[in-house]
Amino acid sequence: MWQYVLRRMGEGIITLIALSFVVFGSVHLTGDPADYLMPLTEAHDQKIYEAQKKQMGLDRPFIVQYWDYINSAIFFDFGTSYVIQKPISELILKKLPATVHLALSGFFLAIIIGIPLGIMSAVKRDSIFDKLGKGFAVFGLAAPQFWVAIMLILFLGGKLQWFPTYGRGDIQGWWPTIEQIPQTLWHLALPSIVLALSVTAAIMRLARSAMLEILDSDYVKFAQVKGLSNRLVIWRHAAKNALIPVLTFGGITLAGLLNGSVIFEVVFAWPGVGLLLLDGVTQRDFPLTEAAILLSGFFYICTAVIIDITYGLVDPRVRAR
Amino acid sequence: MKVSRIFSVKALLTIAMLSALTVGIVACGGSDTSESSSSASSSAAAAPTAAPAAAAATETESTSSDERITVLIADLEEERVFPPLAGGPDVKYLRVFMDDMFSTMGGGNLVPGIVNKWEVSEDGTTWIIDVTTDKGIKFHNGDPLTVNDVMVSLQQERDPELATAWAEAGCMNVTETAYIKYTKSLDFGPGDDQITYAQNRVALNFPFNFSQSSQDEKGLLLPGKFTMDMWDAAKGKENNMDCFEEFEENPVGSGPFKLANYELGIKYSFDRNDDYWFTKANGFTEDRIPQVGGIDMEVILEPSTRLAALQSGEADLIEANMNIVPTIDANDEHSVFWQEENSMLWMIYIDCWEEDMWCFQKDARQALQYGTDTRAIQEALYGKGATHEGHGWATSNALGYSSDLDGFPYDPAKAAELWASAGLDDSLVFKVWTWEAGSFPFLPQVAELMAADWKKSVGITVDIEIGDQAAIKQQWNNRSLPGDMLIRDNEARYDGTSITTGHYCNHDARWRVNEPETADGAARCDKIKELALNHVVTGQEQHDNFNAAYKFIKDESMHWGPFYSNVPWGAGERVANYEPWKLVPYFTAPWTISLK
Repeated sequence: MWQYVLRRMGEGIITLIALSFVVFGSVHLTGDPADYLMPLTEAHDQKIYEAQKKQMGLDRPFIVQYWDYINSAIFFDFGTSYVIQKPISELILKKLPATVHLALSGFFLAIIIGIPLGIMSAVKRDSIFDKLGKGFAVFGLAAPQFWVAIMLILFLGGKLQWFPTYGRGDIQGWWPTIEQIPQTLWHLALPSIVLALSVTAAIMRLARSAMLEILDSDYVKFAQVKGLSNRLVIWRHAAKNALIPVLTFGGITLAGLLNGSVIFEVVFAWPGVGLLLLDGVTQRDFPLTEAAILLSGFFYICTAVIIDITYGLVDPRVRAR
Repeated sequence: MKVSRIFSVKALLTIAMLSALTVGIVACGGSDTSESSSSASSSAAAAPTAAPAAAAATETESTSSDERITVLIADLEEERVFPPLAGGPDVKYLRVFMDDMFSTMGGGNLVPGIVNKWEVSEDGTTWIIDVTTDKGIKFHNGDPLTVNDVMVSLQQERDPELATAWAEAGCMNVTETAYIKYTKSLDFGPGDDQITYAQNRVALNFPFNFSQSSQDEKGLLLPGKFTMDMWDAAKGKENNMDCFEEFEENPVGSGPFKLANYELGIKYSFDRNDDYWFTKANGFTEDRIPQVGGIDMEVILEPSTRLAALQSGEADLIEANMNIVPTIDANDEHSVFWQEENSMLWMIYIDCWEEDMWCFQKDARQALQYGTDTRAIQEALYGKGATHEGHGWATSNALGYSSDLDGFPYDPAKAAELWASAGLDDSLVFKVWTWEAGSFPFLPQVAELMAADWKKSVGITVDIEIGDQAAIKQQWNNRSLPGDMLIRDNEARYDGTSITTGHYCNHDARWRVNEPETADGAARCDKIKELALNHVVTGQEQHDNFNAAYKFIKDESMHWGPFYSNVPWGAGERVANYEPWKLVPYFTAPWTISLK
């Protein structure tokens, strides 16, 4: 087993190194940040331009830049933002709490609603409930989140004033004070609901189809024939097995959510890492862009490795491959 | 099988409670200390003195309130709080708590303020300015204003020694030193509280560029001693991006509000400066003591979210746009205040200085203007959100404007005639580049409508490329788009000296529309210099000279711009009045905001 775990972790590290090289190289192809910082109203002063390149470390060979970058990145030091002129890790850590709060709340909302709804739809196959559930799933997956978010903000926030329309409230950093908890929850509500909508729909569809397959299996029928209660059949025998693909999907989805969503952060004025990445790309802030993409890759690869290892734990056939 | 019974109401309620609990778990925990900063409190009020002779009094009825208001703005540059490290749009919040060296009444109307007198040498290169030290002007940390504060503020951008030292130490980007090459000398004197600034070029626009009406942060007044103390502490360190961190932790201005705390790029809280010096009693042109207790300014990119916040009462004043103005207007308790002449529309024939290019010929360049129904486009897309006057940066209140600078009339027949006389037919294809601009909405739609007009008038089909602003600018500046057209926005400004010079007489200016190193380009530049740029005059004479130059520029048509945008500010039910300045971009005149 340990051999398997080490092999998967090694593969993850190699993937991450390859990703870092691709990201570093491709970001450098998008334009010259020293050139971007040159004032447009003034003559292009080659001396200033060269000095700016030197200040940014861009006068060194590409491979040297990459080597220095990767050596520092291992220790969560992604260099200094060209535009904001602050350490990237500091900028990311400042924005990360907002992203993590929103991602976790939206994700758990989706899990807690999506899984029971999916199971319920499968159990009540072709009933009104199932049809409504399928309708909800189609809507959740098809409706543009941007549009849904704006509609809810305008209606539930602007018109009915049930929820705040923007921001996180007074909380800064990871933890709210006791007094800030109700306000923090209130601010989380609307973005979490919108974020959860499409994830809930996907989880529900997945849970439903997996559950249908399980309910048709021989061992479930056998359990029913044995006279076990419906509750026991559904939860102990069927649902447990049906949830494996759902959790796999959930893991990857959570990794995506932890990378921040530019759309959500724009619409809800949510100060997360997504907007930081957008700023990095539009302003040719290489270190910022590289760090954001690398972290995103890190989250995905870690999740994939954890899922693979979990599969290996529960299924010996996977370990043997 | 009756498995459905297990999904009882009780079960559903349990699920709902679990959901709520999960959200709660995510949000709960201990406490975290804010990273925001706080400013020092200001001290004694300024002593009233005699009004400066040039001052023209403006009566403002004050209905002062201690209530705070929430202002939502559309965007920021989101750089550092210390002005030399900030970007142009950051003046949206910087000017709320900082003053500029030169005060204005908006537009080009300079009035005595931190600098109370300014005079230029006969050759237009040297300025002597008098700093106001006898009116009790104080920074928010209690330091009284001295001539040294103005000197340091100028030095950080214009002094070869200091600016270079800052850049070499890594305190700011090297590119920030681009302007030091124009400095001949920068000295105290000749009299007390005077500074003499000599440049190696004619610089009649110096006071405007360092004023409240300029479109960037270069004129903002730094607390000199505080700044130099920070620099002394940072000296000798290499690659030190935090030289001025202390300012960022304790931002000090001398403006109408004090910056109490902030989250960079997210929100900024200001408290009223009750001791603000710009008052009639202190001899200045009007009372600029704020009429609200404080401003909480937040950055909200999405207009619909700003609108919803206004509707819910979470915001009192929002930077609106034409799409949401009808909804604001529909609410009887809400109102719209217009900030006129905010941005200009700017149509550029890119790099049309090679003889074999279609746009080398003036007839072709003019044909497309005659062939565009610009008034119809402005009315269809913008209504009151834009005004159909002016030519590029010569907007209706700018230096040199007259109504004969307004765009060519729509005349498809004339367009076709000019097009044919340029030897062109409907087979010509070029690209029109544009982007989605926050300050000037609907640029892609403008491009679409213009393209439709050109199809009708001269028969051509153009390809419209809507892309990333930075990427398009980079291609344009690297001379990669010759013969194409760019439709873009830019900040309106009163004094167009810099932009005119850069566009027509500077071979190295990357956004030039004229190539002064070619015969045609040199002739064009010489003409503009002869008409306006070479004359060391002010007032009406300067206005007339620029008017003549702009008429020539309009006729040459290397660029054009038939209308400019006006920015609507949506106000909630608590706001009685707001008078944003015209011809000055970004958030202006916060002291005019009053509550009901």
